[in-house]
Amino acid sequence: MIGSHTRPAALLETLGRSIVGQRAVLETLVLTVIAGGHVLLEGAPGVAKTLACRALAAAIGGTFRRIQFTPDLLPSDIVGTRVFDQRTATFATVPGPIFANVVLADEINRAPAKVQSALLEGMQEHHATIGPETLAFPDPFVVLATMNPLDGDGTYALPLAQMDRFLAKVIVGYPDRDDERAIVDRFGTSDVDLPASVVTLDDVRSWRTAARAVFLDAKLRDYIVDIVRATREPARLGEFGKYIESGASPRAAIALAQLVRARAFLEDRDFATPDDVRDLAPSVLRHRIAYGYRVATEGIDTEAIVQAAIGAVHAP
Amino acid sequence: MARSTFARLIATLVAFAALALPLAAEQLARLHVTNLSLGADRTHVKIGERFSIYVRVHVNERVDRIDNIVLPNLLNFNNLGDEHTRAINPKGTDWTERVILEAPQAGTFMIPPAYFDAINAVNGKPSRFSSNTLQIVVGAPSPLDDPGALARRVLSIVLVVVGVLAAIFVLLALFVLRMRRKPVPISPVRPAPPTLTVLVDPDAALRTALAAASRTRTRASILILRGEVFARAGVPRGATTRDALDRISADARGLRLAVAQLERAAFGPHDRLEMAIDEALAAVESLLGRV
Repeated sequence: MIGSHTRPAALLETLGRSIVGQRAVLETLVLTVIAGGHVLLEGAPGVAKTLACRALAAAIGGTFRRIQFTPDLLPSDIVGTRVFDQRTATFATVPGPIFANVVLADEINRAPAKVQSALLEGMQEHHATIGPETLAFPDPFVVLATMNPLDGDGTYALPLAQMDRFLAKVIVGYPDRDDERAIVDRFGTSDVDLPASVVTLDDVRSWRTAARAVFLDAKLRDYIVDIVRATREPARLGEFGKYIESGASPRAAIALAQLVRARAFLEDRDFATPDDVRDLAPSVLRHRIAYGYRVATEGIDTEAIVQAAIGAVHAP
Repeated sequence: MARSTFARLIATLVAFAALALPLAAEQLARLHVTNLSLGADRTHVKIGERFSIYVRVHVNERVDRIDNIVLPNLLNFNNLGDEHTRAINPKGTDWTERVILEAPQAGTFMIPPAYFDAINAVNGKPSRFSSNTLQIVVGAPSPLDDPGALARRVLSIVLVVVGVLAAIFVLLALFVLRMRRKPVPISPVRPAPPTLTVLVDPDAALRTALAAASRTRTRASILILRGEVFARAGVPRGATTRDALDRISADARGLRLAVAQLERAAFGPHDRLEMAIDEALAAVESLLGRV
């Protein structure tokens, strides 16, 4: 069914050996790689967001670059610039850190809007123009962006239209007690070891093609569309409807269909199921819904609003 | 010339303000809120007594009104009216809402906080400002306070006692009369006709769905069959395969297999549909054959 390339389950197992717990986070990272998208990770400091990104890059044998976003960053710090070579008296193009297979954009909400736009435009177009040259990004190209939800001072909130560019958003929570004990045992006495490469970049490219061939029945397509549309019909969400200013766009439906196919592919199935849709819908919807100010003043958990939208539609 | 220019300028400003006001009305005010308190002129009252509660707000800004104060739930009291006052001074604006209440019943009542939403001028974030809670103790009136009420209470007690005694007398009289009646001859009882027991097949709906799916072999009929199998497992409409498998015990292998095969037939690819339907029908037939 999969073919002669290494299975994506091997990648997930390898990441699981490097990162303690966080199984759902690692699965979403692998699914996004299969689907050819980008991921937004939100979580408190010290919950292994950066380690997960570095482990992913190492496991697929790709290049890894980390960009620490700060308020003084410039777009050329992301995409690159032209420098004058005095020896040859010509300008040379120096590609920026975005030219890598796995790019970790750390604390993306600390940089001003023009820097965010430079990154997001590259995510969309998969190339960047530096002076007279247009350079393509490597393939595969995955951006893993992190946001720290705790330190709000001095941050630039990402507009909804730009958050929409991320295929999925994952909340990286604190580990449970057993996992935290394992973390102390593993990392308290030795340096972090990144995994060896278990798959190749060719494998990842073949996964993307194979995942698109996974069958998505018309009833599941309708299920996906109805869930996304439910976020635009607040009257269907009961008491939670009043907290939504605007629902998810059709891009959410496309993203969910991509992730659902990737999930089926990861589990060696040639068809998607309603469980795939229901499980993956939160990661697709949570960053695509605009909430009103009452969510903040009344302390409403936005995950409950997302679950209300999913629960408003019967599975086929 | 200068006058007409000035008049046009004024008209433009007025039009702009008229446009901006509805927009502003829908936005939260930006305020430095230094006080929001809930108080009363008396916290110990008697039933029927009037008292007032006050919601006091102080903001550092000079504002005409604070419209969006949400008063607490006062369902335990009769609301006799409310009024508000505003006082502007060099330190800002004092806004007071006064509600006149009457207590209809005794007890200790906790009035929840009053609150309003505004942009906190300290950090620029939308915030909900809440007051303290307020306890009101309502005592029963002393009989000496109202002699007429005392007389009415005594009369009501007397009436209740008389009513109870009358009921007891009526019951005793009925009992005595019954005991003095002549016995009525008992007629022979005819045996009741035999009742028919209709045996209901609990799997009738499932068999019907299976027959339809075997005949039509369409995805739609497979979905209906899947719904009947889910119902057999006690799974409601709109549930998924995982929901069903979570409910079915690990020992019920036939049922678990049928659920899995039906999922493939319902959602699997077209080029393997016929084989998937064959396997699903066989699994359900096997399930029914074991009943």
